[in-house]
Amino acid sequence: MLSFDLLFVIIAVIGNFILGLFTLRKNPKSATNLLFFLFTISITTYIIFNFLVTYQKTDQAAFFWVKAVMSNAVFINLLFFLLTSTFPSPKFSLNRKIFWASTIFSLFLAPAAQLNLIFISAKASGGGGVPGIAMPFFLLHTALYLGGGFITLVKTFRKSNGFEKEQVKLFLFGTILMFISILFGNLLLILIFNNSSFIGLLPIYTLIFISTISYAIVKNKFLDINLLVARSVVYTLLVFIIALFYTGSIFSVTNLFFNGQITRLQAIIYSVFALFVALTYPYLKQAIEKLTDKVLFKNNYDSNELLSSLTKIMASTLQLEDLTRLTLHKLLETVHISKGAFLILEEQKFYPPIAEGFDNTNFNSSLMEWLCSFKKILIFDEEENPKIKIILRQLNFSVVLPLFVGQTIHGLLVLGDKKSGEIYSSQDIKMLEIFGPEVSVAVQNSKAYEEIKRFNITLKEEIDKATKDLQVANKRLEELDKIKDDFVSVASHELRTPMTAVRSYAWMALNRPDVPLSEKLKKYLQRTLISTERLINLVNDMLNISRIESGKIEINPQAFDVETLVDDVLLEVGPKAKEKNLHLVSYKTQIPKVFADPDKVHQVLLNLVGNALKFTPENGGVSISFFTDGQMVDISIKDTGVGISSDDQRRLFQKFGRLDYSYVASATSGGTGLGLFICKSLVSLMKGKIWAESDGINMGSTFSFSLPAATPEVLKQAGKYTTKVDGEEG
Amino acid sequence: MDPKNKKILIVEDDQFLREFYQELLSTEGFVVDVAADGEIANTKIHQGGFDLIMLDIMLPKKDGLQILRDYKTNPPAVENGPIVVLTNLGQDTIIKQAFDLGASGYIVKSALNPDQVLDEIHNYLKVNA
Repeated sequence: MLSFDLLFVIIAVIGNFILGLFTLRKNPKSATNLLFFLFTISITTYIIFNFLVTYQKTDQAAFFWVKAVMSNAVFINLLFFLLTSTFPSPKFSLNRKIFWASTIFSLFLAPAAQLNLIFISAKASGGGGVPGIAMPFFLLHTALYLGGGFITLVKTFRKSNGFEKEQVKLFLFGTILMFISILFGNLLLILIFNNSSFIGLLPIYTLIFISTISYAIVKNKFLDINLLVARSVVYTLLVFIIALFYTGSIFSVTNLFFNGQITRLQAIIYSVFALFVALTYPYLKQAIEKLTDKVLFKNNYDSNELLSSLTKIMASTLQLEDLTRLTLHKLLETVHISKGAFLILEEQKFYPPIAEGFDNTNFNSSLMEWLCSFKKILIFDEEENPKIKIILRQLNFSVVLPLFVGQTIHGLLVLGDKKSGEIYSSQDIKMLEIFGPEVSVAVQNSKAYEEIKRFNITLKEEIDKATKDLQVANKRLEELDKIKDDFVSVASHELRTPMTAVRSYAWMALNRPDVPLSEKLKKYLQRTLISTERLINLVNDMLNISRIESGKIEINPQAFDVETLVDDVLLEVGPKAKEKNLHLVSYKTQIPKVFADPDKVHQVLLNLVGNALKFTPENGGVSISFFTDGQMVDISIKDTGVGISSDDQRRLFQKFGRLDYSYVASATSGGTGLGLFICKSLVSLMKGKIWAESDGINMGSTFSFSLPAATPEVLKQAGKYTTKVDGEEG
Repeated sequence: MDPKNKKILIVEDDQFLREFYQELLSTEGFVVDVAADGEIANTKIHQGGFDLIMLDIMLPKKDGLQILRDYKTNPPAVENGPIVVLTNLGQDTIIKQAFDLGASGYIVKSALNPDQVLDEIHNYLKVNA
């Protein structure tokens, strides 16, 4: 019995002392920690004195230690009172007057025990004691200090939340149990029944205290301590089991088989055991670790697994709302958090929060901005700034994680209490610190994506509007084009009618006069006629060009014999050739039909032959020859005229590309400088080519153009050679 | 062929041109009648009996194509000779439409000299003689 007592005392003393020391070392500057340390010391000495009381054989010796116990009790009361009024703040905040009053009262009361005023006498071996006159004061002191302490603790409990609440709860629970036990076993039993036989149980009461506080530490925010404690437990258990097995094995083997004598065989057997132990050690350790993990980390989760599934969610969607809602849900579910919300900032305004578990998500945005301004993770339980702490408590935020990418903040992730009421472990915080930047980038991407989406919508609207504008403008242009065409058409008609009249009457005056004309008058009338012809040709050519350039000319190809057409043209210009006594000849060869628009070819031929006649002096010749390679038919008009300088050859087919040399000639020939350009355009429209050759001035010229031969292949693709015009005026 | 027996109707709104053609053809010996607008022309054409009709396209009141359309759908009791359309260059589609409506040929007014016009007229009369 005695040895058991002693064992408990030793365990309680060491436990209390280590607990106090550990707490002090954690934060020596904290008033709470210091007071807690002193409190555990006072309990330690109390246990020792108390044990010494039970250990004494004589009443006198027992009474001596009883007095020590009572003095010690006064200090326990005082330290408990001071501790509770401070806990869990690191600063000593008790009212100065109350502090001094309580301390002075205690300082008077403590010596009273030594002066035999609390107990007058005491008996050894649980015989009880006789209370003295100061006993009521001691009871009052105990009632006041412990009662005050508990009331303060309950108040603190009510005010706190999260981890703190849990801590206070455990502290309250441990101390209440301990004090009630002490009051009952060590004071009331003695005073009422005069029985002190239960005082030996004191260490057990303090053990309750130690275990609850230890539990608080193990479950506390510093996972490292948590882990340290856990591993310590593992190793202690491991060593204990191994040692027990090993010694037990050796003991039993030695005793059973060898009668306590160790032989060589024994040594071998020991070695076999040792080997067995060594081999089974890792499995044993694993099993124990699993067991302790299960007990100590009930709500544990795998950070890597959580982070990778969060990453998967983030990769799966670009929609901001899905992204935040899904990751939030996963986070709350896995870490067992009661509530949380994403507060996403967009151009200094918060989106409506994406929240889960919050009753009211109408967060004050200026407060949220204020929380953003700290630019760091805020954890309620670790926060030392009282202002932040108050705000966080009001808002029910336990963690505020700002979402930063570089220097840009994209919002906040706020989290409430854990469902268990526990605080956020360092594992949680570490995980959040990794998750924070990842989700920030994802949020940024989502925001960019939403912005692009919005931009696309705007862009589409803009394009639609621009397209509509263009359509309107286009329609207007079409109208203007039509007006222009109408104008050109009407203007040319209106111009040609009087010009035709001028020419006709001039011709009549010249050719059918009823009186003889003087030479002078004849000359004047001739010039009038030529100029009018030029004017008419000019208007016709310009109208032609206008139609070619605006794509309003039709090409209706058919297969026909171009040699026959040449004959017609020669017949047409015959009178003119005769006037200048020019020799006209067409050299016929075997050529295929061409596939072209006969009217247009007629126009081209008339123009080229007309030019040849125009620029060939009297008594000259104009010859037309044909050539074919089977695919194309070339028609060449060769004259013995003025020729073209090599410089001029390039300009021939340009608009108004009339040549310097021929300018004088053209003044009397009615040329417009547009004829060759029109020829080139028409030939091109019929998929042919036109070119000119001359050996130089006065060496004659050869104008040639080619047309596609009417081969079966060409006829098959007649559409390619056809040009239709829509909306030609009727 | 004696021009004196041939009756020609000239439909032309421009007075000078109309009178010019009238003089040119009368001097040549043809019996010439004239019409200055589409309605007069239509009436005269429906009376019939012309050996040749020179029909301008752009006319007041009723244009040449309409006259041709009327003539085609509602031919007169007394037949006329060929109808030759007086046009200007750059009216390809009009010429095509005129042919579709029964015109026998066309004369590009501005492109031809008066004697060339006479040649054309003689040609048309010869072909239809």
